[in-house]
Amino acid sequence: MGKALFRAGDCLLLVLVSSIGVLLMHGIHMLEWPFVLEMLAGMGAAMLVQMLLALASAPLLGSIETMVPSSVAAMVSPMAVCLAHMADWRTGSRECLLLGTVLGIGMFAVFEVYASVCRRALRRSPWRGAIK
Amino acid sequence: MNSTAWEWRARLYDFCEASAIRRAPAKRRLFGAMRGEVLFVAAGTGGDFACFPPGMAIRAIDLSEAMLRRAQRRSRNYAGDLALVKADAGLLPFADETFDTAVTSCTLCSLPDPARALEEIRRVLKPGGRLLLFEHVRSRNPLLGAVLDLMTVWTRRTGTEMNRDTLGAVAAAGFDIRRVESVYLDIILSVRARKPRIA
Repeated sequence: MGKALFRAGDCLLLVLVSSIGVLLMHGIHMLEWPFVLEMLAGMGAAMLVQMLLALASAPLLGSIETMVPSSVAAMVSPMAVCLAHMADWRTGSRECLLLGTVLGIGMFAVFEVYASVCRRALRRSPWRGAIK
Repeated sequence: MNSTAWEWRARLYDFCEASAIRRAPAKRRLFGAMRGEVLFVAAGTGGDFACFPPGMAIRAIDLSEAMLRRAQRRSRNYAGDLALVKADAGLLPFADETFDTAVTSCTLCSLPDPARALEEIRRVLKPGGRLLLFEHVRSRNPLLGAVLDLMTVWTRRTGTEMNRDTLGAVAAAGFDIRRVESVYLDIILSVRARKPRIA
C-alpha cells in the first residue's frame, strides 16, 4: 500500500512537471522569439518550476526520487512542444495539458521499467563494476 | 563546510530527509545484517537510529556538534547500547580491528575525502568484518548520470556530491563487495561488503 502511494506520487509529480513544462514552452512560443532563445528560455523556466516542485515534494517522496526524474521531465517536455510546433502541430492550452499528461505518464512508465531492469541486473549477477 | 553551515544543515536535514519513510524498509533490511560491535559513520541527526535492529552495541560518530545534539535526543529511544562520539570519519579514534560491522548511510557522498574514510573504516574493522552501505551514487545511465552531474553543481555548495563512484571507491579500498541491491534505480543502493580475512 505504501509503495503504491509513493508510485502514485511519483507519477503525479511527473505529470505536473511535464504539463507545466509544456505550457511554459507553449507560452514562450507565443512571444515569437528566435528558436534557440525560445528553447533556452522554455527549458530554463521549466527547470526552475521543476526544482521548486521537486523541493516541495521531497519531504513526501524523497529528495533524489523527486529531483532526478522530474529533471528529465523538465528537459523533455518543453522539447516535445518545440518538436510539435516544428511539425506544424498548432497546440492550444488543452492540447498542451494532454501532451504534458501523456509525457508524464510515459516517463513514469519508462522509469518503472528502468527500475525493474536495475533490480534484476543487480540481483542476477555479482557486482562487476558496471550496470550495462 | 564550516560549523555554521553544519548548524543550518542540521536544522534543515530532517525536513529534507523526510524520505526516511520511503527508504526505511530497505534500511531495515540492510541494517539487520549488523553483527557484534558496530561503528556507524556518520550519525547525522540520528534519523537512521529507528531502523537499527534492537540490542546492538553501536558507536555512532559525527563531526558536527549540531548534528550530534539532535542525534542525542533520538539515541535515547534506541533499545540497545548506542554511544555518540564526535569524530572525523577520516581519522577514527579507535584502535585497529575494533569493530565487527561498519555502517554508512548517505555518508560517503558528503565526505571531502571518501577514500580516506574507507581506509579508516577498513583499519578499524576486524578481518572478515562487514561493511554495510546505504548510499546514492552516479547512475551508469548516460542521461541520468548527466542529470546527477548537473545537480552536483549546486548540491556541492551544501556539501553533497550526487555523482560519486562509491562502489568503485569501496572496491579500491580493498573491500569485497558481496551484494548490491537497488533501492532507487541504480542511484540509491544498498551494499554489503566484507573486509577480506587475509590482508
